[in-house]
Amino acid sequence: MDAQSIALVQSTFASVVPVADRFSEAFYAHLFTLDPSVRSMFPDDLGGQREKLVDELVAIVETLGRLSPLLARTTELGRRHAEYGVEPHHYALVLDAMMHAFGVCIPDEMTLDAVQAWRRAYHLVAETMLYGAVHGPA
Amino acid sequence: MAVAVTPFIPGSGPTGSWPCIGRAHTVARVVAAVGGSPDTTQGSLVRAGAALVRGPLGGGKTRLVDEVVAVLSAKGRIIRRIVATSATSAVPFGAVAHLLPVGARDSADPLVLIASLREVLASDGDERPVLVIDDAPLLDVATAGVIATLAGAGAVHVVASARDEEPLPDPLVDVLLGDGAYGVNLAPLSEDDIDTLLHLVLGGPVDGAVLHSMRDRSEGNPLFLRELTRSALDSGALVEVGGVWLLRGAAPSSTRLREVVESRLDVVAPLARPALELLALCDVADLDELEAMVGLEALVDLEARGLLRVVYRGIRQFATLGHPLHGEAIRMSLPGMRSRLLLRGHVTWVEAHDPADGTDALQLALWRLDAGLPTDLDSLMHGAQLAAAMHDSRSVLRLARPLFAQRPTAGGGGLLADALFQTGQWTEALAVLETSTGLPAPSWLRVDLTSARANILLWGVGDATSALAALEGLRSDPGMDDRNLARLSAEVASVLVHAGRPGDARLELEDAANSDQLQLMLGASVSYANSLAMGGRTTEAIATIDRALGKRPRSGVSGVADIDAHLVAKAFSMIEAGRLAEAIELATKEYEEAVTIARPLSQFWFMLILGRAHICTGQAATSLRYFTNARALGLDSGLAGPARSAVIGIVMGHSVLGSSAAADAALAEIDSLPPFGFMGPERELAVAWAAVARGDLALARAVLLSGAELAADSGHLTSGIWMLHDVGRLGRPADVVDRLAELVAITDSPFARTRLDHVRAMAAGDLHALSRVADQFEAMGANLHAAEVAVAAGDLCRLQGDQRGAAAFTVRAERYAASCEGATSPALAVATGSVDPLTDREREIAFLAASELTSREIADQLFLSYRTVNNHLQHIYDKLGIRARSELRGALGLGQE
Repeated sequence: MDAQSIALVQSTFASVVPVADRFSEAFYAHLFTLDPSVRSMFPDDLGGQREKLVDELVAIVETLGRLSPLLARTTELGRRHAEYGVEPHHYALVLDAMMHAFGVCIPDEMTLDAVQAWRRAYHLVAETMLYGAVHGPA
Repeated sequence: MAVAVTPFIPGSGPTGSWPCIGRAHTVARVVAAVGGSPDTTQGSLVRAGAALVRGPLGGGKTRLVDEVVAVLSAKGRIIRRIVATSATSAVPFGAVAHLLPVGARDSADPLVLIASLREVLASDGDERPVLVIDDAPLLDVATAGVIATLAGAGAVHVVASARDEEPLPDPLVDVLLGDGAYGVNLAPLSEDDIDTLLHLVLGGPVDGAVLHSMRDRSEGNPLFLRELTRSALDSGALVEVGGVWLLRGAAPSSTRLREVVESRLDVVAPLARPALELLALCDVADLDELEAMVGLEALVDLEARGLLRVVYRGIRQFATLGHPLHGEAIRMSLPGMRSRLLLRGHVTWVEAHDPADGTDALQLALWRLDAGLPTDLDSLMHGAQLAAAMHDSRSVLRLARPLFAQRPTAGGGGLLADALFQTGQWTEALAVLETSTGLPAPSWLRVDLTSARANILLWGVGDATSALAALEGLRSDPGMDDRNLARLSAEVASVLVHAGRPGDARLELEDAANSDQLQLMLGASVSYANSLAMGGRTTEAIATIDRALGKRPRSGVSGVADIDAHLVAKAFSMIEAGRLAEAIELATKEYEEAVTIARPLSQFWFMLILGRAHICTGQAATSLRYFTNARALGLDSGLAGPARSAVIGIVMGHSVLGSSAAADAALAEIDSLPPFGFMGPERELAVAWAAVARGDLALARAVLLSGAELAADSGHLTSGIWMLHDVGRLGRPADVVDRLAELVAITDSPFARTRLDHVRAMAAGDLHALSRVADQFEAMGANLHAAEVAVAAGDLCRLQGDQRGAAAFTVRAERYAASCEGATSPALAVATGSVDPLTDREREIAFLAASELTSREIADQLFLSYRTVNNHLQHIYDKLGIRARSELRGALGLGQE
């Protein structure tokens, strides 16, 4: 992922922030459709959870170009997720759900390049979270 | 010059260990396969939880296994890691020598070694340790055997890695490919993986051009990617500009991994190179030794380039190469004299500095040998004896060859000749025996050497006459006492049985086999039982074996082969008696055992037994499979003579399955094999059944009639009875009924008796008798015969106008024929099965396996043996072009779950 991709991820996410509520709603709805069994990993009331998701994404997207702070955040995040019982195969579901939510919120901005950039960014985040799940925070 | 790069994940970096990207799911599956946390393994059923990670050279196997170890360690599992290397692969217990306590390592008794290895590998608490084996194909057979036993007993879990296409040591095949084993083939890294990986190791994002260049060149091979990256950093082609990594100028041009590695080795300072060369020769070396060789700074540079890694053994620091491929590349370019020089220096250093218990004496002896130094011949002899006890012929050859060249003794020659014989090198084996026989030796050893010579002449050269002459020559030696004479007598009888003279063998042994003297009786029992069984005296044959087995404790490694010979004889006798199900059960169990402890000769004989038993039950396809495998293994093990029997079975299998061309092709092969007397007259069975497949029943009957006399004359009574029965089955019962009655009268075999009853009932057109015979064949499990009898009985009913009786027999015939796997014969008109790529049975098993049933469960469900199911699966994999159960769903078009 080069500088242009990072910029593309950041600019598309800027368009999501104003409709963050819709984004998180679409994200969780699609995630639970993909695998109903993950619903039990979350509290009954998703309100707080949806806010946390957006806050976390804001922070990650902002640090995308700077590896050290990004790693500090994602490896710790991965360690916590492992404690919640998140397993490697869940990461693919989350990517699907995110792409779906982007499609709902900002369909016109999700060009092929944007999809590719997001996929790369997600891969970096997911793999470093998985690293943190095994080895702890960097 | 190594390039400084901003650090990111601790311990990683372009020159350190790279993070394991894109493999988390696989890691989780491997961890689950060996039971995950310790608490989930306690009290679990005995189950060989194991995982095999396959991948190409540099495919990231070791890295993935490191990750698995990290996860399991974090869960509190006990890990024991064994790194198999090319240097230790031909040394018995070479891969684990450094783990063994000193006393055990020097013990001449393999049982002591095995016991202490168990102690070291499997802790005695409730917890099951995980044995992690890097490069399992390079593991020495002795260690593999112990690990297989531990895994089979549920004492350990196993995680192993193996390079694509490299065969596993035989003992580990079932552990790593059987039920309870998870197999994975590592895929190349995806473009996303490469992007993330480079981003992490370089500490910043990479430009698209870098990504595409690295992807295209490495094709997703992690080692290749790493070598390319380091190479590009070293040459200054990969640079950071404004926080992004770019390619400046030409990237490394090579498109082959080995070339990239070589080019990286080429730029190592000449001063530092000897350290790499030494490590390439001996895998690991003490850091102090290397520092004395090349200086600390050179070592620091090698480590920074990722060419050298520091490993700990206890509190001592050793170094090893960055990757086995580096060793391969270096060894290939290392002149022989240079190796010698390096090893000389190494040996001098080790002997001067190493604590007495630091280095395996055998390993040191081998280094001295390769260094062209006088070596500790006692260590070589000790190692060769140990290897021989573990049936590790490759190691025996490595050790006994130089030993015999430097110090020829009769004992060493015996070991060497046996290993040469086991590996099919007859000519050299005979030459070694020639030399050994002239050396001083006690009587028992002279019997050993002469027996070995007779065996090679019989099995290797196919010259039974010379084999007998050799034995007779020693027998006339006045120095032989009674005990050694008895051993010679047993050897003579064995040659006679295998030379096609079971009648003479029986006479040779009559006294010895019934002797009160244990040694006499034990030595004679196998050949005596075989000759009795061939003569149709099956009850006595089985009793002889049972008596011998009862007197012989089933312990001690060196006795295994002998026990197998007894069990082969017992299963053979059971077949000749018509106790087919028992024979199959016994042979299947022992066959699996023989596979586990890697005894190819025993495997061969049990497969031959299983082929014979299944042709008697009428399970033609199963029989054909056993015979086909037996033929391959027989030829591979140098048993071309006995492999004839397998090819005879192949002809009969193809014939009853209706493949005339295949039967003819196999028939042609029989006569291309060296002549061999064992069960020799049964060649006529093959000739006859090939004629049946061509529809020439008259020729078949003529061949069978003359073959039966040949068989009866040489003491193969059951074979002769089989052939006469077949003449009856081919429509001429009246022609053979009298002769058959004469032969059957001097046997005690229920199978032979039923064959006679069958022919008699057919000749007499006796419906009630036929019905009884069908029952008898059914009770024996001889269902093809039973089906033929029921068809004949049905025809007889129709002739007599009894349509209801005819219908009832037809139902019976169909029921019997249903288990015959599509076999057909002139006496049985049954349509053959489909011509789909998979047979019906294979398709059935494939779908059951795809639904995640284990082989054991499938075997239970279909009333097959575990081995048979695995054989089917192997055929299915071959036909579908896949390598693992996990690929079955896809190959069958079922989609992934």
